[in-house]
Amino acid sequence: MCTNLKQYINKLYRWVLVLFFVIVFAVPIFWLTRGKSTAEVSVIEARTLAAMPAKSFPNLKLGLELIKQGELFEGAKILYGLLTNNSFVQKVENATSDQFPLRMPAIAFSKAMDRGIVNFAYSFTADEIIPADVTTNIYYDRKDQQLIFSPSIFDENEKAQINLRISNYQEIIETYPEMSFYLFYHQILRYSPHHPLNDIFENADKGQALNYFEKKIPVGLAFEKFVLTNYEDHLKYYYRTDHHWNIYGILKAYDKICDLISKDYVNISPKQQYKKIVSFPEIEYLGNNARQTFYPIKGDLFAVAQFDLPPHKLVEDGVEVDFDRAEKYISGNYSKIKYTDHYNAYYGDVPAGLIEYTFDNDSERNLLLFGSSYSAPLQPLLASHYKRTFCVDLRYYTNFSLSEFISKHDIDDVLIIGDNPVAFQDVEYWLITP
Amino acid sequence: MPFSSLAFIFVFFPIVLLLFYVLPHRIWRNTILAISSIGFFAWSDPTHIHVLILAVLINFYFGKAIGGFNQKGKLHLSKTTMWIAVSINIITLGFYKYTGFFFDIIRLFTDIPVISNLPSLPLGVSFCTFTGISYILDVYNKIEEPERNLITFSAYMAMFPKLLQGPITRYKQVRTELQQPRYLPEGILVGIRRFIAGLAKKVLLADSLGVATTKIFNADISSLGADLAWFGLIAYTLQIYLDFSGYTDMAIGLGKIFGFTLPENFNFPYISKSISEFWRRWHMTLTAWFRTYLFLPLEFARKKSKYLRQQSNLLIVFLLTGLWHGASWNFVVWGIYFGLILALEASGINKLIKKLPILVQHFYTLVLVMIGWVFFRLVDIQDWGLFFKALLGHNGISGITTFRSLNIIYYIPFIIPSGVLCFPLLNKFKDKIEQNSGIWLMLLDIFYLCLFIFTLTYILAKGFNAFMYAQF
Repeated sequence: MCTNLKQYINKLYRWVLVLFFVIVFAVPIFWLTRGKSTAEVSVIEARTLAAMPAKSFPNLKLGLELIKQGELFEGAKILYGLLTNNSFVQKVENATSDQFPLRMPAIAFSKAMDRGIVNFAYSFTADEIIPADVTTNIYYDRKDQQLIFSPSIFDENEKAQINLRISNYQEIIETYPEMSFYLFYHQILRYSPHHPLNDIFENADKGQALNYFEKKIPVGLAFEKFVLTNYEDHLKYYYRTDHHWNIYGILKAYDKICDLISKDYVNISPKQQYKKIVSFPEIEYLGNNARQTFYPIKGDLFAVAQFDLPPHKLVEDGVEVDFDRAEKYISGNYSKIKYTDHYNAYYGDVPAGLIEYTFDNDSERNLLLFGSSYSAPLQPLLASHYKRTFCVDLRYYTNFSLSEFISKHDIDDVLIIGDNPVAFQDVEYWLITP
Repeated sequence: MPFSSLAFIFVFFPIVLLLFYVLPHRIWRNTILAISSIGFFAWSDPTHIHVLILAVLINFYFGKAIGGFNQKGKLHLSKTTMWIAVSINIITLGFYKYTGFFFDIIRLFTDIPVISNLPSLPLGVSFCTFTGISYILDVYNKIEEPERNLITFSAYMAMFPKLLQGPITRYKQVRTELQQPRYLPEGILVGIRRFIAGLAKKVLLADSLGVATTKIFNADISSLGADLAWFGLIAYTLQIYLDFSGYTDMAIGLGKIFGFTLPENFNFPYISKSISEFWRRWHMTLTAWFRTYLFLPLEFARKKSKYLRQQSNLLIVFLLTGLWHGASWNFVVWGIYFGLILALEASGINKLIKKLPILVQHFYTLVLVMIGWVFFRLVDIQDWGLFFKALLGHNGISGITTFRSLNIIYYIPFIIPSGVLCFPLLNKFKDKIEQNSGIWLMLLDIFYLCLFIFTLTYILAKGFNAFMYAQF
């Protein structure tokens, strides 16, 4: 009996490693049998997944055809290009990862293992704030149960970038003296003096970038700021699981921006008053920081303010939007998928093109608004004070030119809304070409 | 295409394996191996595919010619042809790898302008040329008959498991398997285990430690305290071993799966008791290559030289070993550093060391090896002094840059399993299980399977990194 069992086990062990081949072959068979691989959107990662590249190589046929016809040089050139073009290889590499079966559970498992190691490593310290993940700069604050980015760094390079932005502001202000320029800056935790990890990072910003900019603010640029006066301000105005501001931050920013623009725009209509704050208790809002880290954290309460805005038309990237996102949400018509980006879904995804509001009001002024996703909730509120409002996110424009834009649109006021990169620190996207 | 990429594991490997074993005849299998190896190279470095093809053709035809001259007794012609073939291999390596360095040296003495469009380095060129030279010299020395079949020779020269990072394999080590293959299920099983072990070493440990070492060595060296400097050095010591030996495990494992026994490259080098022993255990195929084709001929050629012959030969060999790793001054110094230590050991110090307690011998070796890794890792010579000062506590136990500011506390626990793998204990345990079979073997295989799946989750979550030795 014992010998039989031993023999059986001896035979069986080979089958365990046969499983290795089963796994290795099952994955390509899965890819082949599932039909055409399409580019799906990953809700969790908020991105489009890479699809397997086409199986046919039109250039190969063309190259061979040319060689057949005696066009040796041209044909060889195409074939050489096909061979040396790395894009096909890159597409396959990306797709093998993005189209891998059970990919998300596998990633979640890996991140859970990482968390185990982080917890073990930090069990020898008294740290309250530990890395939430090892592939991002996001930390988990055990005391306040929130996910925060590490402090941003301030150094000579940042100073140089701020100087560039200041020159850029001066240039556009001098070029267009007839227009009013406003800058509304809001401070997020990673740039503030109240970040709990500031002492750990030797070059932490701690508000230095703002101080540096404020000392050199160009004449003609009306400036207002919404800074964190203490750590509690961050908890009050921003989400725990997302980098964006919550409804209280949005309302405070709106209030301050109205005060800012009313300095020049004296006939501005009264501030919009919200009817009520509506919360969605059934939504456990897990924002960007939770999505990136898969950290098992309690979601934020998702709440919005309800306004009665005057009739208006909204055109996004040339297409009129004839639905009301707020109405959809209030009627319960929203995604129930975990990790849905409700901030973007409610306030509007940032489209690659222009957003244009036209309000049916008595205003004769038009606004050009530069901003990132932080500005999205403010756009309709601010637009309600203008006839027409054009919203531009410069990260999605490659050749934006202010002169070209104002030659097509009549602009009176230019408003920039943003945190450090948008307001005065980034020179990759946010320099405005006069 | 790194072995740890999903494209390799789930696209390239299954296709090649299927074709290899479906086709019945040896020559077809070698054809598949040769073509797939060229495809494997082209996937990562398509612009240099001609270099590989030319290397195969040149070494094949020159080898054939040398064999022919040998057979006909035309030794003079055989010698001339051998020198031409070796020169072509060396010129190829020199052109791609050392042109920039050559101009850097000239620029030290003249005002020639900086040349911007230097040739880029083909992947695995150092390994490929050394394989070619070994084949040519073995044929010339009549150790080996020249291969008459181009496909079989291509399968040898371009064999994808060893193409990019070795092990540097002499033709005689795989000739029988190429010409009379025997495919044993046992070999495949051993190969799979070895491949998984290498993959896990690379992805789970070496890549993790790599994140920490990159952060430490890229930080301002003058701001490092002794704690961080030592952690960085220990982590790098482990990383380079696990990365390269992980690759070798995968290469040997793949070789086994395809029916070839590739030579071992590592034998637990960090347990050595002297530097000469370390070099018998570290990158063994490269050391063997230099011993066979350079050191021994030098010893023979200079046998009449009475003073410091062996010592000077060691210095020459290790200067070239350093240069083989990279065309920059830090590798030159790294090579000379080991050359000098080995020369001293050969001069009698080894006898003194052997009289010391074993623990001291281990300590002596490990410290010297780790100092060597500083020269190896820090390309900028100006950083060496700062780093050694940090190691000696010049900036205090803890500096301005800390574990927290670099966010590397997470990586500290990785030192333990990485360190354990530097000792042969686990390997002995595994070998014992493999010999006995039974339930323990089944459990071992279940462990390997779980390790494979676990490693895949890491690749999916974090991607894969290039192997460190791929740059050489």
